Amino acid sequence: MSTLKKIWLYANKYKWLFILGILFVILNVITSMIPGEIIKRIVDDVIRGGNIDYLTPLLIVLSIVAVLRSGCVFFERYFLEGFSQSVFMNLKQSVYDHLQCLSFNYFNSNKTGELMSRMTGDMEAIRQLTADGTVHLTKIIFYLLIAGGFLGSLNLKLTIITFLTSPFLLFFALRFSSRIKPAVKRIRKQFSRLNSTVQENITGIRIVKAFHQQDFEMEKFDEENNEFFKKNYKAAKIWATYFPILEFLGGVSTVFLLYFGGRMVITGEIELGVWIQFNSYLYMIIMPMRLLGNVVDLVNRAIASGERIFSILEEEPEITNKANPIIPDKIKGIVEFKNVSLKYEEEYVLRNISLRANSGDTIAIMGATGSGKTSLINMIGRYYDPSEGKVLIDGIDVRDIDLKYLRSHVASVMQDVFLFSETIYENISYGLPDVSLNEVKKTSQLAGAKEFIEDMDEQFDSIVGERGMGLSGGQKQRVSLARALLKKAPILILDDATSAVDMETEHMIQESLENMPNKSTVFIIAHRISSVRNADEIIILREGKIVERGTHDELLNFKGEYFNIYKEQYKEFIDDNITKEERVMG
Amino acid sequence: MPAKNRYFEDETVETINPRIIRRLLSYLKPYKLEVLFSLLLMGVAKVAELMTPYLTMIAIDNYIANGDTIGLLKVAILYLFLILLSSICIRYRVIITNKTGHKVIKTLREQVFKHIQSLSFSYFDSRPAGKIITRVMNNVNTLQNMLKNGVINIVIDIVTLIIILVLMFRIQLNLSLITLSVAPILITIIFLLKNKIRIRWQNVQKKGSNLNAYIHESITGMKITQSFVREDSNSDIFNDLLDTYRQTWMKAIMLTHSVFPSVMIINTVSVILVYYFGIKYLSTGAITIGALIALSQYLWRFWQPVINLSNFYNQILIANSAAERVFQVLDTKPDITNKDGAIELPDIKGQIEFKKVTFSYDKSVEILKNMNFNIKAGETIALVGATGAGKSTIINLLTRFYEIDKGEILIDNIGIRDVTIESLRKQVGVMMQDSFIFSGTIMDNIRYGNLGASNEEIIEAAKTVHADDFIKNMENGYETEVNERGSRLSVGQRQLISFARTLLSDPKILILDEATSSIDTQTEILVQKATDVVLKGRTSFVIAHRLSTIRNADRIFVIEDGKIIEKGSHEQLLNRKGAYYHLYKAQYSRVV
Repeated sequence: MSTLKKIWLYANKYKWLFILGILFVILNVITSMIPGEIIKRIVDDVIRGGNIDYLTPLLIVLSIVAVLRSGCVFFERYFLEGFSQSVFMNLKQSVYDHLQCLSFNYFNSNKTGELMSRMTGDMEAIRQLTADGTVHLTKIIFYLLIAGGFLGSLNLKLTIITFLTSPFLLFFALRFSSRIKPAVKRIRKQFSRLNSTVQENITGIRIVKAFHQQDFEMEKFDEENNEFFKKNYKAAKIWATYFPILEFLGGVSTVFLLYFGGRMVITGEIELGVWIQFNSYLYMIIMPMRLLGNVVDLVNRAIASGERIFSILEEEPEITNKANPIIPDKIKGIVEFKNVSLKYEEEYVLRNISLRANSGDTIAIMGATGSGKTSLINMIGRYYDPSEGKVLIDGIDVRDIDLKYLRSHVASVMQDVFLFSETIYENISYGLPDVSLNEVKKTSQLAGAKEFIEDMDEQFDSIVGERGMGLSGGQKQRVSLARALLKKAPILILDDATSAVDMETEHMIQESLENMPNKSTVFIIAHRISSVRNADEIIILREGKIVERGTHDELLNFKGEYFNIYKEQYKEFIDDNITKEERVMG
Repeated sequence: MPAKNRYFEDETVETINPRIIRRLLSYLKPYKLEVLFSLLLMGVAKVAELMTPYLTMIAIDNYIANGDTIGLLKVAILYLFLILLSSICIRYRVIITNKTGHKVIKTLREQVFKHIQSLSFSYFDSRPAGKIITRVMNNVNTLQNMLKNGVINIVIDIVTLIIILVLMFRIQLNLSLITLSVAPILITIIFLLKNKIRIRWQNVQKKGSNLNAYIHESITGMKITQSFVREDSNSDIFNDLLDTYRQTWMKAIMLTHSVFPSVMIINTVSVILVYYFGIKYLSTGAITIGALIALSQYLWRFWQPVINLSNFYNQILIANSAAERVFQVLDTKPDITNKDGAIELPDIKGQIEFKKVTFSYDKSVEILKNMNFNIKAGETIALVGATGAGKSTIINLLTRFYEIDKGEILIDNIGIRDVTIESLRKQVGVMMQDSFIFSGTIMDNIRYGNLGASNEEIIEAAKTVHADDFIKNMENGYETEVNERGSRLSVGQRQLISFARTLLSDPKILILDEATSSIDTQTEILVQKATDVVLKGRTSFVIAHRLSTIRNADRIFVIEDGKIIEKGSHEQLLNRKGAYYHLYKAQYSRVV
């Protein structure tokens, strides 16, 4: 299906606005022909013919026509802008809703800036086509038809002579738009390069300064900035070439009309009024021809943009509800992995993982960077589906459970903490309706966040996130932990959730987690022994496989990788302890 | 405090400030000749264009009426010459104004960017990055139009109005005055409308930027949205935002589209006046047919410059607010600069002294209070304390990312304020909590620490921190492209790369600010061994939560509320049975 047709699918609903709009455009074109005719009558009948009585009615008609035309101009815009805004809104909402269904993989492989430009620049191209493009195109067609036909019927010979240059005009207009288009595209591209250079510099300014690389940064910037200048100048040169040509060719038509038309008046072939009428209609034909290039450009741009927008809409969500999903009454929190493997682009990330967590258990996962820890826990909330094997919750395959139901029963704190530009209260109560401030406060206490929040000027009303106050890494982690805890989900996932929190606070958080009534089933990814030692089962992953598992004591006795980690983190304690014991013995 | 606003809150609007406009125009000063020349070109083109109705009049009255075809041909040729002249002038004007305008923009943007490089951390702490970027990019771009065409157009429009009036008065003074009697009405209407229109478009802009901010945040926070099952309510919020946007848009666009109908109606009134009175003048012989037609043609041309001038006021307003933001950046004095006569810091040994150092970020709360310490060259110092105690602050002061309020910091007995910032930071390497990755290859990212380093040296540094293994395993090894903020890499991998980067800069004083918090212990064991090697011969500060890391330090400083409450080696501090001992015991009892 062609892109324009696809766009029409989103516009179809509003076709009456479109049709009404087009009708008014046509009416506008027709009424705009009338003043010329009236002027002709004034010149021929009133002035030259001496029928002074005709003047008043003619002038009255002229004023009525002016009012009519004003109405047409207003209503054509009213309906077509309404149409275009409706299409714009419909399409934008659809893309937004669709994005919300796409999986983590999609967002990992598509840059935010790229998605943003589809939601802004590309949408704008479609808006322009539906609003301005339709008006221009209809005007071009009807002006050429009506004005051209009318002049032709008045005097065919003069019409042909006057518009002798129009094939050239058309040719240059189209050529201009085909040449300026890539130039403008290059400007836009260079602008976004320049923009990302600046963006990177400013977000990374601390590193720039720490390494004192301002000169290097200036160099990078100057290069892009210079290129931006050059691209702009190039486009201006194309403009400078074609714009005067178009002006000139339009002017030549006037000269032809002046000379040849004047001669025909002298020889009596036409009336003076007709000649004047030609003069007033001339630009009704020249302007549309000049605009044609614009319209072609609008259509092309909308097609290209439409393709990019539809590539989002046509992206199949990897993870969807199956038909008739199960909605259990309650989730107890028994999580089971049965021979689970996960492939990412033909490569195994996880291989043959089996594990079971009973309701209220804590499972800790350790392992080197890239060993598959995050992928493992992301399969519980179905952010990825296993390539082989099954993940079960309370004995039901997660793929059979209603997706929203499932996710609202799994709370997670992710490695990359993200806070919205809203108040802390709103961030913590995110996703939950009607939460009292008291409850939010209580939960932040559990997450070790209450104290620093209450130290802030506006406390729980402080705005954080990209557009708000900066919090430290540890503070962000605690807010995001509170957000997850408030959900009171039967399954809680902590992906390196306290790495930036100091040991003492972490310990306090752990204790409060332990002592919570109705303790959730907890999956925790951590590097510190202190974070994992109380877990019911500790799993060590290496290259996607479980290499060690057991309780803290079991793994210490096993004297494998876990033991090594333990020794590394605590050898000093052990050494000190031994020295002390020796001292006591001695 | 930072500017705070959420997706449903708008930013404020400004008014015209002549000082800002003058300052903006001063950027055109080096291009005086160009501006004058394009004014001249534009003037010639305008006069040529405006002569055409006059020529038509002459053609009708003098030649067509008398049947003089030779005369008609002469007029036609003159006409052709005028439009040719006008076309040529337009061509060169486009080239000159664009070249000048874009050059000025380029210079201005360069100036802003360069200035931003010199601003200190406190500037960036208080503003979201997005706002600063907007100033360098969008606000500067907004000035383009003003600098390119603004000045020239206003002169030309005024000149055009004068020429039209002169020509019309020459043709028939009384009739012109009668027909133009409606002009004041239209001018008033247009200026009133334009003012309203501007306000409405500003509204559209605000709603649009709220909408975009919401989309941006929705995309970056998508994982959270999905895991908290907030899709439906987000979709509703988005729908409301879209709806508001559409309403403001419709209000703005419809008012915009009412300008043309108003002009048309008023113009029709004046055309009616022309013919109604013109025909009376005809009978008295005070005017010719050609003149009557020429007058009605000039009338139509009279309105365009009026509309332009009303637009121009809006343009100035827009340029004013953009320029104000840009100049605000330029006028921000960098609070940390090289003092006059600052010397290059000579090759240091690495001895550090804090003398009665007091510091606060915002003058209200003192973060460090009268801090004193002395560190020997080559010593490793671990900083211990709760979040917010002031550990990172000590480090930020040593590198002069912030300026101290009172006291003195000395390196090898030289005050750090007496040396150039560049030479100081070259010898003090910091690995920060937030490991920033630039887009580009991994190789480039490590090389950032020392642009002159060879590939071999880079690989060597990566090997030292055990980043080599995972880098080699990526599809293009060291040449693998990593995207914005390194989102392809795990947090631990980012930390390793930035560790390698710091090492490559080969600093005499090395600072590790929770450099390895997200590296798994297996890797950290390796990194730790490497660190031991690396730290040799360098003075170093280590901030870490793991006691194992801390214990190896020569001395440990325990920081609480901006003061050092304990100092000494691990053994000494344990024996003292103070804060450190309790901290240690608490962790210890939980494990063993």
